[in-house]
Amino acid sequence: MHNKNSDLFDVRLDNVSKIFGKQYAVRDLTLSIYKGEFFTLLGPSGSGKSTVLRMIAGFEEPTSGVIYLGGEDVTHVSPNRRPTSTVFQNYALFPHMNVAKNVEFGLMVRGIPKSQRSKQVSEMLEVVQLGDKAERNVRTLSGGEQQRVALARSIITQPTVLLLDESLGALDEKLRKEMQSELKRLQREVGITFLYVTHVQEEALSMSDRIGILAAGRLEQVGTPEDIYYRPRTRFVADFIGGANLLTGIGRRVDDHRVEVRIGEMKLHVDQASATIHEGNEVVICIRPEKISLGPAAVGMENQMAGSIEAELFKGVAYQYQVRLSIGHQIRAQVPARIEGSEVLVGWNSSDAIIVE
Amino acid sequence: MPVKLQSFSHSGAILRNARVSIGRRRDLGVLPASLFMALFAVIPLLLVFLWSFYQRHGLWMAPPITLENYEVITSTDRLPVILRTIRVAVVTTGIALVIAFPAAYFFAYVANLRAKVILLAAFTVPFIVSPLIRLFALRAMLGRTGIVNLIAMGLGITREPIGWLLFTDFSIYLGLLASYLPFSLFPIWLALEGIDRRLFEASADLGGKQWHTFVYVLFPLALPGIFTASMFMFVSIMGEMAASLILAGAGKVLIGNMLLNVIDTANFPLASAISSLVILFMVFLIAAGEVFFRISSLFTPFNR
Amino acid sequence: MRYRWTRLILWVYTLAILTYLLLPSFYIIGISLDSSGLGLISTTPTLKWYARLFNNQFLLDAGKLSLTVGLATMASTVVIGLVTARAYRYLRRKSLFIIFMVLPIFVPGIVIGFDLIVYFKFLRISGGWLAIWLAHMLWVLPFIFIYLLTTLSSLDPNLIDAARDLGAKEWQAFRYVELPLISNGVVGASVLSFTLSLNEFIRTFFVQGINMTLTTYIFGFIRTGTEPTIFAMSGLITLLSLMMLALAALLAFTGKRKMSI
Repeated sequence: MHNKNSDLFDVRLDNVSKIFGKQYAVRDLTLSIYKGEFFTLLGPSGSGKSTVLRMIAGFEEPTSGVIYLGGEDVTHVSPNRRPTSTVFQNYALFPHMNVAKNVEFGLMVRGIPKSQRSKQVSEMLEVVQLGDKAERNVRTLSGGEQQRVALARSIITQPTVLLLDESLGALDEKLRKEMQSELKRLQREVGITFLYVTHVQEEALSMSDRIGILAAGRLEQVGTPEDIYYRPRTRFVADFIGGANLLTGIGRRVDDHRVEVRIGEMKLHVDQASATIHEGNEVVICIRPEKISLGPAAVGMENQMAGSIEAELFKGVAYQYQVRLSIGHQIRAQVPARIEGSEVLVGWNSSDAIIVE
Repeated sequence: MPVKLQSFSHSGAILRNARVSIGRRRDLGVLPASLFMALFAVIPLLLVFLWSFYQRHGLWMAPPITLENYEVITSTDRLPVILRTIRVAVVTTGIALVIAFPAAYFFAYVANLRAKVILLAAFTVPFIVSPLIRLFALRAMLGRTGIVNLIAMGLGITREPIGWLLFTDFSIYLGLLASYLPFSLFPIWLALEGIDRRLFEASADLGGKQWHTFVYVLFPLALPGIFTASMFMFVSIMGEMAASLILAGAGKVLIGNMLLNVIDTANFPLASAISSLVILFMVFLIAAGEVFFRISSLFTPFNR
Repeated sequence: MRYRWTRLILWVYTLAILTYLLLPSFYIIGISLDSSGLGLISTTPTLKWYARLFNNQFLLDAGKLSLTVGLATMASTVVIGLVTARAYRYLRRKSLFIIFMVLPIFVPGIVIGFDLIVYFKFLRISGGWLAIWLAHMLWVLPFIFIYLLTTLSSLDPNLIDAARDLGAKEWQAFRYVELPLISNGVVGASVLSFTLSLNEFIRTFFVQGINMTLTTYIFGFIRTGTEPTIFAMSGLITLLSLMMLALAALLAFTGKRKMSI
């Protein structure tokens, strides 16, 4: 029996839960990953993302729920029979084999004859740009090279889904950035669905077609990087990605596009068509630090108030200020140029703020 | 908390693999060893315990149940042997602890990896190379024409061969130490290895001097190892008979020798009683060790 | 500077103890080469006592038995030990199990020996090579289990997962990934088990019945005084055992190296 839409989805999780002892590691997770997309599961440590990966790979069995790969129910299938391939965090390269032997392993255990294997191996090594290192012992390779061997080894078996478990974690900053674009390029070239797991939001935002935010075993939001960043649906997502300023007030819908939020004496406006606001209930506004203007730049903005600067942080690309607003809240503002003085005008546009749950 | 297991849904090409219940079935491998141990270590022990309450019946044993075997053990002519064994055991254990501790310290904190492997292997020699052969050698070494006397006379320390090297308590101690020192070393070393080094740093950081750290941090944490070491030494010596036989001759009898004699006379119930006593004593020590010193903590390095 | 002295003292101290422990073994080898056969060490070594060994039929029979039991013990303990060590990782009551496995080492040989003869008598197993083999397995298994446990602990479990993830079946993962990496440990365990079996005396003494192994043969002579060939026999066993012990240690060490990246 094929699951409907198996042509669109490569991976589908249906109400999957995993309990360790008495704790829920993953709770009622329902998720679909499209064919050929680069999907990232993002969440803090302990959120259950590695558990999800292991369940898809077959190293853990869900306590309840069903997992579909390419339309087939694989919930109880052992890892070696699943069309997935995993790139481990520490790469797990076989230390007693050289590069070529590592890469051809998946083919060898499938019984593919030597002659055919060699050809595929050299082609694959070219793709990851390690063609000249085929005979080398894996121990002599650098971290980045080892990772490429791990990738080659996994991709050569032509899995339906490639699972990457925080694979860039062991690399330094510069190498990380290089590998990020490398991974993206590879995915485009090979066309396989990638499921990447990480806790580094910047990575998720730059590489993914879609992101799923996981917290305490629950899926908080799924969407494109822009969706997640500019339209966070919950407080957690807003705070986890990019840092957010959250202001709580009493909400009232003005018209189809506008919501008025009262905090103390101040009336703030938010352009939000979607949220249903119950008159007089508490709502939370979220504004990104870089969308807040200080000083002269704040003049003319729809939402304005006075604030006093409490701290300054130099971030290289911008200055970040901790500002205490006249309404009492403390916010973070990110501006391109340094602000002199301690009392400053703070402002932002209604279109830059959103309501979150 | 309800745990639902999804029923198998049918699928086309991918086969069911029952062994996917990962984690549950994979510990089955301990069965053969467990079975073997249970069959040949545990059951005999229990049977012997049972038989210690039987009586002699021809060349074998039979009920009625009686306590007379245990009474015989504590009777007047057996008692000196037990007391002597306890004395020897206590002294030897004490000496062994004192000797082993610095060596254990060495292994845990001074030796590098390569030295550790080599020297540890060397320390297992007493386990491996038959104690029989070594005791044999010791007898030759300590005798009147042995090397010790040769050197002593050659250096002019004595004019006549030293007689008390052999066939005395001294020789027994020497022999026992040669055989069982590693039993004393390994548990202490294991305990020391298991101590988080940062505790020493913390102690120093808080102002403690060397001896503070030693007395208040290292020693208490080494106690499980020290207790285990003492326990193993004690029990082993109680079962030892070769040392006294080879090095001390007929006179100085230990419990081990006594047991051997009893077995020789085919008094199996009595032998069972002696055996059971030794085992019971060991069990008691293990229980006490666990309750007061948490000796099972020694094995945590193996629990990944 | 104070530390330097302490380290030095400890080194010397430990080596001194080591010497004390190893001295008797080397002494035996020394005696066996002496021509007088009186337990002295002279300056003229000879191999004549070793040559005489081969004329003694009883000795050769004992040797054959020791060898057979040794090989049987080796095969059985390494296989069972490996299976057990691999399963240990998934066990829940780890501490309990390991104490259970290791305890027999510390029960005095006499007690076990006695327990076994009455038990075998009860089961109507007569003394003979089967009894000796079982007794040896009981003695050797705990050691081999610990040895293999340490070998396996260096093995990265991700490697096995990676192999299965790439499509390898259980036996393939074992054959192509696990076995090559633990091979040093397996060989070391085999060597160790054989050596332990060869040297075992007290339990063998009890359960052997009318047979004799090399060690019990030697024991017989202690009671009746000494014969020079006994020194040679002991020397041979000791030499062999020391070499094999060194080999087992070496294999444990290089095996660990092999598995790291």
